[in-house]
Amino acid sequence: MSTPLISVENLSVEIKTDRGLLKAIRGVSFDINAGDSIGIVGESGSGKSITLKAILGLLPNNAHVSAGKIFVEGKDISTLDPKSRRALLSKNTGMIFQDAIAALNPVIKIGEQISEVPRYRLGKSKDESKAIALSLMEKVGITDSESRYSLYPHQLSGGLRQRIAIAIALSGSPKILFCDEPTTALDVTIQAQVLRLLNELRTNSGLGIVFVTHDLAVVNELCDDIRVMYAGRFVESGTVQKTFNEPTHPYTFSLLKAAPDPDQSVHRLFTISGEAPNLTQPVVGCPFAPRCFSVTSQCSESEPELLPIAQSKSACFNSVDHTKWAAEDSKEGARR
Amino acid sequence: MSQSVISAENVVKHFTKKQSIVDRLRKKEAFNVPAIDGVTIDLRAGETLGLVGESGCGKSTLGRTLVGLYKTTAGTIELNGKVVGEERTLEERRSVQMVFQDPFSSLNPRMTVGQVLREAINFHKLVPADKVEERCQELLSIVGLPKDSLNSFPRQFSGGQRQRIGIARALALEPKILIADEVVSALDVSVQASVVNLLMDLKRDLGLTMLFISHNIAVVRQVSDRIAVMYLGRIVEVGPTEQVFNNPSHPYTKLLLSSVPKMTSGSQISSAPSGELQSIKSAMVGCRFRGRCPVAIDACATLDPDLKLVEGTHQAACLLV
Repeated sequence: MSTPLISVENLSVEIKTDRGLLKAIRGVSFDINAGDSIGIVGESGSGKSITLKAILGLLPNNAHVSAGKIFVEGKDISTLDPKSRRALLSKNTGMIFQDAIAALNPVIKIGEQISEVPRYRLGKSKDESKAIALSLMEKVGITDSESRYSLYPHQLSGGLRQRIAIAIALSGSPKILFCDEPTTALDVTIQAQVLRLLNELRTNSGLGIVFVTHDLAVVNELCDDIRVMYAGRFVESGTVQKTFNEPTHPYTFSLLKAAPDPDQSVHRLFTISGEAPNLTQPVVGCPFAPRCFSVTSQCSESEPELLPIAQSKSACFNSVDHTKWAAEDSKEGARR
Repeated sequence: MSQSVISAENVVKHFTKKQSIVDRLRKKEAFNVPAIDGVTIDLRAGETLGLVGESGCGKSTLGRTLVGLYKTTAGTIELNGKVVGEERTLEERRSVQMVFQDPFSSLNPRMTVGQVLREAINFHKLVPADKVEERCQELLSIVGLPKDSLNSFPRQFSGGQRQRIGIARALALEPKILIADEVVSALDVSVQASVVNLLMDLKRDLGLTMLFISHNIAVVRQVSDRIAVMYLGRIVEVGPTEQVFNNPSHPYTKLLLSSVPKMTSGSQISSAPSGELQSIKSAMVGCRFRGRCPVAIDACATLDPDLKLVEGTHQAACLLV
């Protein structure tokens, strides 16, 4: 098998906080290839955004990669000097953020912001860069691009701003687009447009997508593969179809049950009791054990590894006991 | 049909846009933003009405107007069949309470949970002085907070627990009507489910009437008996939840429902272009949705549709219905 475009091995990130060292990511491994679409889901604080930021070297000053390696095109980026690391990453990756207005420069015309990468990184002439920017604007579905080229971010609506952010991310023609909750701040109708756009880019230009979100339904619409993150680790990994139909980890199962379904109304929503663990404290046993419904004595002793099970991978000692879970579900129903 | 406990009749709320000095020098006319523009709505005893729409459509303004945080520009609000005056009486204020979206900024960081609850109870003199503590404990157990929470500050709680404090504060006044404005939007899925369940329990156990405002259509479907869809300051469709979901009649409702990402495998969100919420300024004449409407006809540019009966109590404001 050829080397993956981006390979993350056992990545760990620590953040210095007032309350001590927070182990935000505790050993995450995955490969990204051109054309992949991976959704990373988890609750706030599970480390999904930090994973993206660590790969792209965008960690805040108080955070650092404490262990693990990141390979881009087979090269370990920690061994590269900053300049060549930047060159390697900018050639292969682009990123869009949750808050488009904060990601855009308010005093520079949007067209100029899009043409920055072609102009300064790819060394195109001014006219060429503008032509590239205009074609990118068309590509992300902005009509009338010529006249909108000279607008400022505040003159645009939320959906258009996010499109501009996507155009900027695409301006270096990356192979992988990292998306950090790009639709969370948007209305459903606009979210649908952005998802549709990303889907088109994926099918038409083979763009790889890594999509971080807390919304399972969005992953279902956009991605082929899913990684479920809990307390800084992947607890389940597999295809979206398999994972949604037959989750193997109790956390995934609970998340899927707790998410309200727009297609049907249930009498009562499934709840997950308790809270995510505080990662400034050492993790003993399975971090999900206190909230888990199928917990055994083994769970409090050691932390389960992410191991293959059926066609997925799951970090649980009691994976895939669907019959037991179904019973748990009906018990919850009986308590109504 | 059960009795209406709160109703709005043709309520209008305008916000006056502050004019900059440049605008005044240019003698530009002041523009009043009609955040809600002729909304008639009624909540019947014991029901939950879900209010959905995009941001900026006026759903929060409507909620705040019903509570009395905003004064109406025109129209009347009736509480238990009586029109409320310019200044609401203590009793009227007590009977409509609100839970806010952001559990972080809606609680005073310097007040303990006990102080928050006692302030409300004492001000309205709801229980004799020696029963106040008892009542506070009762409220904590109703919303599922630990017994020893009274002396803790909001910062010591998680997001879901803070939202429970907000709910306890609203319930402290024994309201008949609860306005829940995006109460679960700031919460994670796992916590969201438990707060939604709590609200449904409260509604059943205390016989509350609830207006549940949210942009999350999946959540609204779970909690609501009836649902109202708002667009640019107007209610465009209202009816029993299942009827509206199964048979959406207004093109905007159709668009909204088809945009919601689904949990079932293989589904794809609608491929129809949908445009964005327009400025209300550009849509003052005719149907406000016509600019985005896939089925608009010429008449839509001049005629402003009223709510019309579709079936039973299901109404939609579209010329083509």
